[in-house]
Amino acid sequence: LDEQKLITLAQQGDQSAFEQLLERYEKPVYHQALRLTGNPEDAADVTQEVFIKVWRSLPSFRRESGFSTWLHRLTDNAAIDLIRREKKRRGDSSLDDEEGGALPPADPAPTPQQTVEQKELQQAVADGLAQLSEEHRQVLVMREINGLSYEEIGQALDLSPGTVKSRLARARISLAKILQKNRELF
Amino acid sequence: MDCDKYLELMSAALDGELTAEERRALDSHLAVCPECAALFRTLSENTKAMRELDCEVPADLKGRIMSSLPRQETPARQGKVIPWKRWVPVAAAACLVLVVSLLPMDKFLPSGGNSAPMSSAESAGVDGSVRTDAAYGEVANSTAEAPQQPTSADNSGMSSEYVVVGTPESADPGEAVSCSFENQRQIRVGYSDDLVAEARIVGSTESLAAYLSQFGTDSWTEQGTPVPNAELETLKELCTEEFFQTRRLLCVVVVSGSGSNRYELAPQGLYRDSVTILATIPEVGTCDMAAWLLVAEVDTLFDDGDTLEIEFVR
Repeated sequence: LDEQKLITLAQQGDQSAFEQLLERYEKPVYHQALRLTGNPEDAADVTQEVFIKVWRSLPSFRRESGFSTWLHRLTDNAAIDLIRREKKRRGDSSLDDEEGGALPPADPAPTPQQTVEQKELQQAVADGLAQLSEEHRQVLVMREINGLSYEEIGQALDLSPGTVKSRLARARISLAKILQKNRELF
Repeated sequence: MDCDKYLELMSAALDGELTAEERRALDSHLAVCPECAALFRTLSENTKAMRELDCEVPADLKGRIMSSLPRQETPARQGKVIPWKRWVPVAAAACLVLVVSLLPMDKFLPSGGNSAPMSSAESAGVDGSVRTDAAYGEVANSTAEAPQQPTSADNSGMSSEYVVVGTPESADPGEAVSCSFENQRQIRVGYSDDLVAEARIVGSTESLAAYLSQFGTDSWTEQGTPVPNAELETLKELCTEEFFQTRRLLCVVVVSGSGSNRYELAPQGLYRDSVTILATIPEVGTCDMAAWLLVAEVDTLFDDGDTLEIEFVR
């Protein structure tokens, strides 16, 4: 069944159609959440929260954006909310984290054929991603992890494609600086 | 050499978003600028590494999700007549305000002036987006434990106080959440030191009773004679269990440095995590502290207990 049909069925309460949508999007949603929160447990919680919200809200989903854009927006919202709640619980004073704020390091799952160098860079990039500001992490994760276009990212974050473009550029520069700094530290 | 302007081109190049002309401009710059060429190599490597990141989804996650699916919501109702229309016989009134509990304590606003009941709120003169304004003191602070004293101190740091602790969601990305603003109410409640300004979603009769209890039942003290706040009682009567099956109440408490200031929910001002309040500040205000409860219906995409950020415009 194509996606639009699955969505229509799920909107009518068809759980097996919803399950197929879940199978398609579980991984991208989980991966996005993992890179935003930097923590597998949080990522699982966010994924669960997102799909339950999707199920509940599907009847009102009007397809003005793509289904996947909607999912990535919900995931972004849920992950950022979770990060802020955690921060508040820990008593951090700043809401918008500074570039370089400490989060638990992310944990990339290496595949066997990767070279040591590639693995090292991936680990470094994943760690660096977790140190980016929320604003930069959001766009970079949507672009690099989820492969969303500028327009889709704009829809998901209420930004113009032009803003997405310039924010991505700044995010990439920030990440490069963070990686450079981390290399000097270790 | 102005290298900064090539940063965005480098980034767009990584996304395959360059025009042929931009590509040529970037290539000629990279050919003559070793620093930018090195940076571009680094950015390319980082991008490649990021795109190759993988993850393993916990095996039991799908099962966890499928086994915890709640009942699906029915679609948002369109144009249903809501019983609140019975509240106010004055058809023209978009809001009803009871003037109560005037505490003469604002030493920063001009004294004098009567605390006349507010008329239907107008947003005339509201322009430009500001989070707050020293002229009306700290109009609201969603996290403050202590009451706000009116002060003209710099409020620039205030936005950080508005913490999003709820997780409401719009069903439809990029759009304001549907809200029946015609049914919004402004109820003036007695100002008290214990009042915590916030925007909260109330989703059950129990929650509503608990929520309203903070305002007391005898806050009408205009003539020094306490009487129950009839508006709050009516609110409880109208918001039955049946009501909460299909709707939620957005309740916003605004604490203000003057009884003359007027507040209303901005049309299209409701988002998944924030609500915009239009503030109208008269030239001459009263010298009392005041508190308002703004209520409006919202849909069930919000959860009971969600807290929203408050943004003020005037």
